[in-house]
Amino acid sequence: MKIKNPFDHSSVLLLSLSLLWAIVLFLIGAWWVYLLMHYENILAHTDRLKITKMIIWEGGSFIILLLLLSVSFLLLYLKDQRKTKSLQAFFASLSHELKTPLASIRLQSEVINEILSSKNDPTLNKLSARLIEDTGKLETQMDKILQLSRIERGGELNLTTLKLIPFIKNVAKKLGNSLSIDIDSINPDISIVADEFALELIIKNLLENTRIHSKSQNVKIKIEEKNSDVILIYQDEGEFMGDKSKLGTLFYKFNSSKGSGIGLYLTNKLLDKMKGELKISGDKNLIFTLRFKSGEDLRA
Amino acid sequence: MLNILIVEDEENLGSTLEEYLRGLGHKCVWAKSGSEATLLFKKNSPNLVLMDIGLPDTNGLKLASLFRKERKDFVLLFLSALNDPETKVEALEIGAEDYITKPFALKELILRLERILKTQASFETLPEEIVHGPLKIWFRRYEVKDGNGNIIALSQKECAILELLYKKHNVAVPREEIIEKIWGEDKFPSNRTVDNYIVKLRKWCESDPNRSIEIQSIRSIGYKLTINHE
Repeated sequence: MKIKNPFDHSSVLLLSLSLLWAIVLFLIGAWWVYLLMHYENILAHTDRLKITKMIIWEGGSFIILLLLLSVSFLLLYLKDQRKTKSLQAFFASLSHELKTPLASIRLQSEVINEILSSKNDPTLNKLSARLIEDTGKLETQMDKILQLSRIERGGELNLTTLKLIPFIKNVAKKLGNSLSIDIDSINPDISIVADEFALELIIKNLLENTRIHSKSQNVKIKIEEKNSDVILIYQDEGEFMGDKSKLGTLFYKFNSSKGSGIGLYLTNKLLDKMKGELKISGDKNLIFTLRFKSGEDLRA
Repeated sequence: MLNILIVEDEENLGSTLEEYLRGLGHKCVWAKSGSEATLLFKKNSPNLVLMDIGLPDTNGLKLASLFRKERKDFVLLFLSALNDPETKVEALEIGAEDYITKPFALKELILRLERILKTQASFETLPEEIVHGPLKIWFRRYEVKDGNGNIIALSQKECAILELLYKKHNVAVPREEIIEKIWGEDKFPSNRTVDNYIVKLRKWCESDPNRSIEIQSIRSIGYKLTINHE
């Protein structure tokens, strides 16, 4: 299943519909006036002047009303666009504002952790490690919001070539959770065209989804080269009970208590920007197929 | 030991960084604004600047460009909450060694510092000016002179790659070794990324018609720098 987001082109659709509405109504009005004018000789048996006046006034009022309606549609659309943009800008700036204090919290937690490591106090060590882990989770969520607002505002990515397998291993190591990841690939040096930060978010999101939604922590990743593409097949042992057709829709969560509902939507958008693709197959046990452009194709 | 200037307007982050880096044995000063940073940059001549971008009185990118115009022999590292590619590219074009997005892992910063220290120490073992025919190299200034007499500024990575190849001249250096030594263990550029860096260095070599220095590709292995005229 290829992810299609029903909200993807909602603004463009709204604008097109408004314009179509205005044009159709205008044409109907004009056609009505034309017909009445054309047959006025037949209609005007008795009081020709009265009927002509009525046609002009009624037709004119009709067209003016329609135009007013269309203009108000257009104004509503523009207002909605402005509101969406300011909301996105607000979330972007809010996330930035939160990132600096978060950096401070993380730095201080890590310094505390370093000091405590020599004190040999298991409880304090555990608590400070949890503090760092939770800061990391917060960081990922904020990165998702920031990337989402940036991409929705038409932001571009910085594409470069990266070695995929060590990159995945490093992201998994950074997350530090207990997932058991089995990577199967003939070529260990396989490289892809990607934005480093975007790719990190994509991998983190897949791993986090396994951690949250799967009872078993086993992950199988198969990577293969096909022509000028690199295909990554990601499979865990989780059971999906929701509506598969809605997967990847913004804010869709099949289990409302977990996740933010932006991960797969963002993954799809980011892959799209990297000239790749995300496909989801399988019924209960979902298989995520990510297609990337091969790094060997990027010419210097 | 590094002589570090931290430019960071956030009180807690700035002071924690300053205290921690001092604890590691580095000489460290902290500026909370652009104007304070300018004063401390002139007064202390740091060899490493940790620069934030959103400063109360100026923009970190502008400030870094001014510092770069004044001196080339310092390592610039951006620490910023902004993570859009445009800003990152701009920062790297100024000649930043790296761009670390906030919140960053302390380990990540320490790894960068260790690599910078290694590179600095390595530069110290080479003469201030290296001359081969019309080609000149000033590793500590991150500059080279081409065959037409033009002085070209090198980025930190270009300079480090040149230094690695220069020190191992007449020997083929595998791409993997270049990646490991220049980018470190936590970065995964492909071989093609290394090739892109080599393009500029090779252009510089080829500006000398006598080919005093040559950089050759060794198929499936890496690169070899050959010195033809001592």
